[in-house]
Amino acid sequence: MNRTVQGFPEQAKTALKNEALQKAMGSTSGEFREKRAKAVQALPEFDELCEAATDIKKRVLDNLDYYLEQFETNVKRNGGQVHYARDGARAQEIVVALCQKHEATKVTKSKSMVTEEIELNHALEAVGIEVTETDLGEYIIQIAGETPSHIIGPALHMSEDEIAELFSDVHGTDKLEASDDRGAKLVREARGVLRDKFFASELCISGANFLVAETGSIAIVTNEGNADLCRLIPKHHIAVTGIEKIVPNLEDLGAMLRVLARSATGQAMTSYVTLVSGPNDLYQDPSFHVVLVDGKRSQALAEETREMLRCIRCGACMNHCPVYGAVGGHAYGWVYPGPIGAILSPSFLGLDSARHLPHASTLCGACGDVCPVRIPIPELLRHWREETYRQALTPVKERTIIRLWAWLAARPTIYGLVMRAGIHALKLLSKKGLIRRLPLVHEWTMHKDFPAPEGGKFTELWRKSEGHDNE
Amino acid sequence: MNDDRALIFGKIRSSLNRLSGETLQPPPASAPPVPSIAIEEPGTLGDRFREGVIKAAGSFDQVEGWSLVPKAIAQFLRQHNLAPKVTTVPDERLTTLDWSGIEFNSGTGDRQVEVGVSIGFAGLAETGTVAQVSGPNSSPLLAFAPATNIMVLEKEDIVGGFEGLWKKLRNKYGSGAMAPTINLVTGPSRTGDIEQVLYLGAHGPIRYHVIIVGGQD
Ligand code: SF4
Repeated sequence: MNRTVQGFPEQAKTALKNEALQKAMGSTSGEFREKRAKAVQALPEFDELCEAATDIKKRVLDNLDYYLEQFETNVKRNGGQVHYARDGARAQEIVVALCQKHEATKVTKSKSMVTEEIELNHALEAVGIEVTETDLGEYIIQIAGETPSHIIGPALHMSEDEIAELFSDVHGTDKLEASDDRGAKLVREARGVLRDKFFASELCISGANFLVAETGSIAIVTNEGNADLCRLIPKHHIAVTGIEKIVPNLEDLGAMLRVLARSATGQAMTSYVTLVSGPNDLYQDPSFHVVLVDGKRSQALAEETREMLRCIRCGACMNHCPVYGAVGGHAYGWVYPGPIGAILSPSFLGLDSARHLPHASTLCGACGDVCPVRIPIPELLRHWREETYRQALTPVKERTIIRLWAWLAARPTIYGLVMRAGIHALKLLSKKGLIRRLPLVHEWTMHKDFPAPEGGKFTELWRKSEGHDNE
Repeated sequence: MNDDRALIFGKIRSSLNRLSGETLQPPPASAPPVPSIAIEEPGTLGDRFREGVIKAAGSFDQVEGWSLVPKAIAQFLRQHNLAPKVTTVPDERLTTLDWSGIEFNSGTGDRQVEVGVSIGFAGLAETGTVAQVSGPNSSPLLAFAPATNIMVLEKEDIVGGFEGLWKKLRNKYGSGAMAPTINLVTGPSRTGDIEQVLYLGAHGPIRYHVIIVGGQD
């Protein structure tokens, strides 16, 4: 299905009615939250490390030009090459050209959100290169023709049964019937299929969780070990990532890894952390390329939402978001869902198309509280809301209501009269203290009743209440 | 492409309000806190490391010296009903041992290998992690392709945490330099991609076993 950021309101409605999705979402976020909470509790210095991680990323953004140059110099010294891409199209061109130069027609890939962002697979397939996603979740959505719904669990919107069905269709096997060990069997089946792909691979494409300026290394984090099989079997390796992924040195990397693993999967350490500094030395004439994608990041550095560039893609904000938990990742219409997606998408794709996303929040603040790099997500969401109004992107009805409200709120006497009339009207509408259907905003009362106002206006109640008689 | 480099740097510099021709000074380095789980406390390193291995769904054994490694491996393979057949990294510490009773190979590893034996460069007490470096006597592939990953680690190479590892790397390769591939391995391969249920052995190893060389501490 072709989803877009513009389509959020419709997509959210569809998601709410999708029973299978609702069932899948029901358990997902809760599990992530529990695991994270346990891991955080087990590390007394967690908050201190988050502060440090925040400082590190702030310093990186303040000195991005310096660190990028340092990183580039060191990659070259290690025998690798750095390529810069201003946008997705240029990044596609670079990667396609490198694959062709190395005569690679079979490519294995490890999970990378930036390659999703730049739609790399389409570009490779268009020139006849076979690309296989090797992270199990990514593999599942690749063969299903889907996009990821979560940045660390791309296929969590799908049930085991749907996956069994999919494997049977694509692998040409009989569908596995539900049983206690069906999940394990599915994992084994994918393992077998992907083994063939790994050992036939001529080139690896990976992402990078971090770029270490001091050593010119990229750090890749996985639990499956798929990135390592991708990297170690073929001669050539292309890593594609965003320019903001830098950390200055190894000590900083340590701090980032400590907060990332705990925030993402609730582990003290992800099973496999790999530092790649240069071409694969198992071979003669190997090559190693790093493609650094800008894609509006350099511009965002000067904007008020700049702090979003600290994001380390741990997924904690979406796991703690009630809106994400209700509508899932696909509703957001682009590769980055949830609260951070609602900030990134307007910046990377334009506010006019993504303007609904910053409104997809109750501003409960949970996302900002759990973010390991202290991105003030609710504040940034509010910033986009204000911008939407300022740039006159909000519909006329909404703008008129807001303007009317502002006019009223500045005139206490008229405001008081209107409120009193409102209270009276609501009381007339109610039965036994509850209103079944609110006029104009009936969405409010679709799933619950609205309580009728008791007593009068707040200011009147305040005046009457004890001790305020004389105020 | 070079245009893109110039363009991106230009935009970054303008976003950061850099003056034209400004030479960039190295920003001050930070010193992120070292959590207590990573401290270098010699008497506790072994215990903390072994505990980490178990927490990471791995297992361990400890032997007095290198010569006892093949026997320990044979025993592990028997316990798990695995054929007595291993491929080790091409490192003399392993290749010169007496492997009688086990079909022994050394090399970089391929699809057929079922049990890979590697040598750790360092162990991290913080998490039960074994770090492995690529090089002429090593092959990281042996820790990933086979279903069983056995890591042999000298007791002296166990450090507190990341910080100890970075120090060892800097001592070996010099400041700023690194081996082309460094793998930090903590447990077997795992996935939670199907309904968030944990399955071991998604791609690489189903078993992670560490043999510590150097007697009880
Ligand atoms: S915004 Fe913060 S919590 Fe959300 S993915 Fe990024 S780092 Fe994690």
